[in-house]
Amino acid sequence: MMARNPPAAMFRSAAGLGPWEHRGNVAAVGIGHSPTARRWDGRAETSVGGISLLALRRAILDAGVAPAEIDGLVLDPSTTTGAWWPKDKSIPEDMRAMYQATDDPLDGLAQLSAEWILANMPELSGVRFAMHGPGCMTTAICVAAQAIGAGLAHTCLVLKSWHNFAGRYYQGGANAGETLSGSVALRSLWGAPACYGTAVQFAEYCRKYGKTHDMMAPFIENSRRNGLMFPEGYWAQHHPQAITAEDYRAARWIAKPANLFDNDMPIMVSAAYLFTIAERARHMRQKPVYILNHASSRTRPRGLTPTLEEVEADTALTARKIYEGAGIGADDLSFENMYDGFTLFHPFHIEGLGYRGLRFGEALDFYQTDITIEGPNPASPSGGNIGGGRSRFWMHTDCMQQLQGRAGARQVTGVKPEVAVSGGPMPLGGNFIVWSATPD
Amino acid sequence: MSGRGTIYNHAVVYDCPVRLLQEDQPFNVAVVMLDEDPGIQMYSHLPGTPVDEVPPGAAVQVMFETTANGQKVPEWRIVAAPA
Repeated sequence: MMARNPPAAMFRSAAGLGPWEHRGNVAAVGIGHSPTARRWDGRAETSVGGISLLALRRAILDAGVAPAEIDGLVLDPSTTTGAWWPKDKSIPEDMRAMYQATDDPLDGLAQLSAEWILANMPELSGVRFAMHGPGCMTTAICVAAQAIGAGLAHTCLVLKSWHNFAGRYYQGGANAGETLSGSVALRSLWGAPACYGTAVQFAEYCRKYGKTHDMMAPFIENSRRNGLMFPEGYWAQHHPQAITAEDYRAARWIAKPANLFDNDMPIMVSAAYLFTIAERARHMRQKPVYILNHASSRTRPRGLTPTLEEVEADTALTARKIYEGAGIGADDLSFENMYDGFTLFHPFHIEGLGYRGLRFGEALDFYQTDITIEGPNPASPSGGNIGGGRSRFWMHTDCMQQLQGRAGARQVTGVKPEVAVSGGPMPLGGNFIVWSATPD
Repeated sequence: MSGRGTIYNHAVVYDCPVRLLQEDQPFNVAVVMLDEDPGIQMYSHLPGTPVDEVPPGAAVQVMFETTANGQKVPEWRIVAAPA
């Protein structure tokens, strides 16, 4: 079965749409993760295809659903962290031996397709709906939620996976050559790394509001602390070490004012969720977590990189869409899990939300207060990408686990987990989800 | 176009993905907004401006630097302090 890209109409990107028409009628019930790894070790079972199958089967088991009852699959076909399979490199024999191949030999190795997943999971015999959620797990969640609400599927798997190969981040390809040409040269000729745009926005933020980079330190400490209590995450599994404020301040710069710890580390990992209609969810193994709304930004920057002014205008607009569609206000949020990879996104996101009454320019002062999971104002209880490695889905998993009461050592105790928001990645162009322990 | 603009802000690049620029690290990369339309941006190393001493709001003028392989790259130099 071929999956197609979602039409723009599946995303709630305009303001003024009113409450989401499927508010509380779609629920998450199953969660599955693969183990994490820094890079692929070359074995077929740990390929991006292999870990995807593992995560999907774990989500099905977690939900307690018979695989044949599943009728939908939404996935992001792109799995790259910035690493690409060389054109002249042959496909490993182990991959050919272990998996059913599709017409594209990179499926399961450096990308995914619904065809490949279904060919290698024959137990998913009832899938009639397949669609891409390009870019991130967040996009896939929006697509799956809208599809279930609209009746295109009633029980749907949602998948996001990442592969990572040898080599330094984005240092191959054209960047390693003698010349740069074409439109890519408009950015690359000056050598700006991936975090550059966010670093410039943050530099302007510090100038405008009289803040400093050091003020991010408590957020970084808190995020790694939370991440070390996330057993599914990379740092908890491989290097369970805290980051102190001193570590943060001493870290080398990547693009000042963004340092090493402001950059999330690419990893290999896969996560799958099982979504269904609210009525079915009540009969499954896990407590349902209801989706009250999904909202998207489709704002494009005017220039090469968004200015701080564009970021602030768009996060405020996004917040209005989030709250309007969910039928809630900022005061209803028990906690937030907004995107943090790069960390410097996080203050922009929570200021736009007005989380705990924050206004523009106040997030760094907020980080100096008690933002732990034990306090009344938890910030990023998932630990985000900084606490768990770059997955862009820890934030969603955490919202579900917190609202289900099974976040383990990471369970928030300073607030009652009732309503939460997660999403990103970037302020401009991101997608956002409102989760609830109850359907209304 | 007048070839004039204003510095929005900058970052200092210490870990550059482009191999041929790595030997010059660290270096400034500023966002320049054109006078005719601030929504049109260009990047610049701001030749002659010390690293991390970039004044936001300063007026800049375009210039062209010739690379080792003969390419002409638009760059910008500061011509007036911030108003």
